Parts: sequence; structure tokens; C-alpha cells
Amino acid sequence: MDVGSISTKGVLLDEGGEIAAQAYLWTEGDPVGAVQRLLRELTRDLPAEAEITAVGTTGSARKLVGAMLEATVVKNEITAHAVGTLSKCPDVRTILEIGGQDAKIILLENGVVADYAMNTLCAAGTGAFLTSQAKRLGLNVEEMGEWALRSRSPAKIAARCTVFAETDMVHKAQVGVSKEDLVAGLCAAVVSNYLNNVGKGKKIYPPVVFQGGVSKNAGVVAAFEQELELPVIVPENGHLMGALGVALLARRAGGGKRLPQDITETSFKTEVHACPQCANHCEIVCFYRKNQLIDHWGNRCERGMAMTAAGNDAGVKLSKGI
Amino acid sequence: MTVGIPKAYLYYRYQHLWEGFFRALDLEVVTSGGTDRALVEAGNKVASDEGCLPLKIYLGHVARLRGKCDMVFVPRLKSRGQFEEYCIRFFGITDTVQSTFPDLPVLSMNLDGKGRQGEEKAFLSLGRRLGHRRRAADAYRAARWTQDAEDERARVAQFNLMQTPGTKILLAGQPYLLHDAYTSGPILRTLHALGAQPVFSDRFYRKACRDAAEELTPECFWLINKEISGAIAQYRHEVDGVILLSAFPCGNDALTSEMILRRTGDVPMIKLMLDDQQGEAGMQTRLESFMDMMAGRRVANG
Repeated sequence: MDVGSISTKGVLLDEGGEIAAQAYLWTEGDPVGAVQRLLRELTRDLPAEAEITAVGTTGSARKLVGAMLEATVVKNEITAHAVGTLSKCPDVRTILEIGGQDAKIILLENGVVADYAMNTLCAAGTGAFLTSQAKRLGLNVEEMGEWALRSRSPAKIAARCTVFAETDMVHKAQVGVSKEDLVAGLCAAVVSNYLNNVGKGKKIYPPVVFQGGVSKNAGVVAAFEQELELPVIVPENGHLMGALGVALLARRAGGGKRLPQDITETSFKTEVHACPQCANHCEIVCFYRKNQLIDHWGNRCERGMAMTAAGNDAGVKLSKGI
Repeated sequence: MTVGIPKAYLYYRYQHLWEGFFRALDLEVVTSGGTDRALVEAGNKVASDEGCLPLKIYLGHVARLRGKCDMVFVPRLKSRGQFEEYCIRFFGITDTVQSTFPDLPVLSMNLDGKGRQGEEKAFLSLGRRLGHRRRAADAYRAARWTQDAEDERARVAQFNLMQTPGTKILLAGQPYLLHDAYTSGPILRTLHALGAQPVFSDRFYRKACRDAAEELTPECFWLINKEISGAIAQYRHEVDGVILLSAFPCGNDALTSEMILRRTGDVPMIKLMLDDQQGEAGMQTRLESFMDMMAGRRVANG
């Protein structure tokens, strides 16, 4: 399971390690619900005797979903993506990845991560930006690629910051620049923003693989190829590489707990409590299964306190930090 | 009389010097205690929005000292000689504090002179202002001795730690980021949980670090950034990886960390940016993948 801010991806591996089923849907701000829907979809065509013997989770909700599914492996996105992509393209040297709210670059040498970077404080130039600009132009984000490829002379759009890019685009639109050229300009802006921020100072060697939701946009792919002067490979299942990677890691680790049978019907709930123990007021996220506390996050010290049952005022002192 | 010292900025470098000096002159010393969420919010309210996170923290500490002391010690730190300057926030900090809290009694000091002599001069002048013309020199020397001894103790402890087996990560940054539990605590806890031992860029011989920095670039004039980049240049091969810790928006770090990454980036190195958002998820993702990367590189290199 790769549970990101915007979309939730899942794959099911068979005994041979091949993808037996895959699914993809919007997270819609509810990672637990998204995972339950995804699981239903993944297991729909599964024979009755089939069993899920290990679970891996990655993505920004990996901890939450890992606790929910009693995962064997809970892994960060960098490692998961590297493992997933290496399984499909063993000699890859550079992975460009642009998702809903994050962007990263992974550099590999001989199949090992040698360096990486992620976008820092800002989500400019990621999928969320493209989606909002598509809406402004009255397009579906999915059709932006075709529009961009039809452009003859892409508009020059400031790429440093989303706010300026938007201002720039509105201005260009009002002076009569065609929609094709605007969209192509936006795609080029995403690429130069990415290379100037995330890819800053990194040496990009081929083979280059581009993945993440934004890799579905052919306009951005073309802009990358033009800017890097290198062919850019977009794997067919590019959006599934994180899920595939963490599934492979879980399979390798083995010996995991079986996926609980009734997981898609069980009620899960999170509540955020401001810890009353000191002036830091850590926001402790308490995670409940059938109203019983099963895990928590956000505690910064040994004094932390969480609520044992949902909607209950009686707290429990936490023994573990982080 | 009681002197209040904000536990922020270069308190983490000069704690014993400052506290020792005042105590030797029979003044009482109170500090503002640890940084917490409420303090940062108080600082945030009074600071200009372009200030860095550590400045907001500093002002929060000053606010906490109000009413608890007769005056608040806010030294102006300018330089310790040509080409060894402090951050410009420290040049102006006395004025910043005074204009933020107009009715607060502020005790200042102007550090702007070469080496130890310059420092002694500044403390003698501070002593005169406190009415201790004759005792100030002895007070300074005793406090300086304590500070040197404490620095040496921390260096030796870190040296011994580096001889022990296990993964070592050099955490490089301004001392007030490294040693304020509010800013670095989550990082230190995560590193420990992942089985790594952090070591700090300010616990090496500073002179050796400054010399190493001169070789890296003759054009860095910021004292502490010199020591940070020098520590990395000198010791990066004795650790498993380097984390550059920086606060948003630190101008000095922004310039020097780019230079550090380009000239000494031949070891596993990442840059972590701190701001006053509470979310720790991004930080954990970066640290976890950093540890994975180092493990992968170790296996690949045999």
C-alpha cells in the first residue's frame, strides 16, 4: 500500500512476486477509508483460499495504515520507490518523481541509492499545483498532456513560485496566449522548478525514469526530455512503484502477520489530543480500532499522555516517544 | 541584583562565560528555562514576520524573563576580529529587544574585537558599567577558564564517543539549533531510534575547524559558519553521514550549506530545514531514507 496525500495505490503480489492485482484511487483526506476501499478492490477477484501473508506500507500515511494493517514493513517513500523501480529497470541511474504534494529525485549507483533530495517547505510545481491550474483553465488535469503537446511556442511562465506562476499565467491568458501554449508553458515551468529546487546541483545520468502521478502528463515528460537532453522513461506502472517496492520488501522480510479478515469492515478512528502534561502541548494522534487505542504518534517526551479509548477523558501515560 | 539570561542563541556557546562572570561579581543569575511551544508562540507574536525561527525563540525567552530579574542580559555580538563576524541578527539583537520591549531594563555588552583580548576588553567594560571596575578582570578570567574547561570536557566526551562502534552521524549547524531540545530533540530522538549516534559540529577544536574552513573558501566571514563547514571538511570521513541542520530562513546557512554540499558532498549528506510547523512526518521520512541510503552504500562498498 502506498498511501499518499492525494492518491492511494496498492498492489498484490503472487507467490512468484509478480503483480496479481493493482488498484488506484483518491485518498480524499481519509487514508483509512481509502485503504479499506482499495483492499476491497484488490481482493475482489481473489480465490477464496488465497491468503495475504505479509503487508508493506509506504507514503505519508504509512504509519497510520501500517498500524491498521499490522504491516510487516513500514518503509519511507525513497527506499520503497528505489526498490520498486529497480525491480522493473535494474540499471536505472536517476529517478524523477513528482506526486501530489511532494517531489523527489533519487540517484542510484549500481542499484544502490547514492543520493536523494525532496522538496522542502513548499509544494510548488507538484501535482496539486497542476490540478488547480487545470481547473482555472477549465480542463481536466488528465487532458493537460495532450493540450501541451499541441503547442507550437510554449508561453514563458515564471517557475520560481506557484504564486508568481499563477499571476504570470493569468496575465498571459489575458493578453491572448492560446490555451495550448499556456498549458505547455505550465509543464515547462513545473520541470524547471523541479530541476532548480529538488534537482539543484545533482548530476543527472541516464537511464532516467520519471514516475509519480505527474508522469502521466505527456507535456511534462516532453519538457523533461527537452531540458535534460536525455530520453526519459515513463514506466507503464509508474504510479505503482512505491507500492510495488514496499510489497517486495514485505515479501523479502516474510514471516509477517496474516492480514486480519474483517479489516475492511472494522471501524477505525483517529483523534488528536493536545497532551496536557506540559507547555509543549504536543498534538498526539491516537489511533483506535473499535474504539480501543492501538497506536499513537506525535509525542515528544516521556511525560506524554494519550486517551485509552475514543471519546474518553481517562488518559494513559505513554511509554514510547516519537 | 539579578541578571536574567535568555537561554537561546549563543547561550549555547557562552553559557559558562556569561553565568560565571556575573556570579563572580556576586550577581544572581536566572535563565529563562527550556524552549516550549507556548514560548515560541509568544516570540512569534512579537517578532517581525521576516525574522528567523531562532530569533522568534530568542524573543520568547526574553519575554519569559520579564518580571523575574532586574535586567536582561542581551549582548551585542559583532566580531572576534577581521573576517570572523557573527550573524547580523546578533549585531542588532540589543536594539531588536529594546524596541520590542521598550520598558524592559536591558544590560548590553559590545563584543567587537580581536580574539581573547577583544573579549576581555568587552567584559571589563561591562564590569565597569555594573560598578565593578576592579573585580571585573578576575571575574572574566575565572569565567573564561570555566568555559574553556567545559568546552574541553564536551570535546573529550565526543572524541571518546567517536571511538565507540556503531553508526555516527555528524549533526552540523548553529549551536542554538543543535542544543535546544525543542529544535533538535525530534531529530536526535529519531536518530537514536534508528540506531545512530549523533555527534555535533561544535564539539571539535574550533581553531582547527576555522583553519580547515579557510582552505575550503577564503571568502566566508561568518565565524560560526566557518566552524561548521570546517568541522565537516575535517571530520566527514570519520562519521557515516552528515546532516546539515538549518532554520528557515537563515541567510548565512543558505549560502554556506550550498558551498558545503558542493565541496564536501563526497559523503552521504542531507540538509534538513526547520521551521515552526509542528509536523514531523517530513523530517522522519528524510531521516529514515538517509539511514537506508547509508546502509545501502555500506553494503555496496563492502
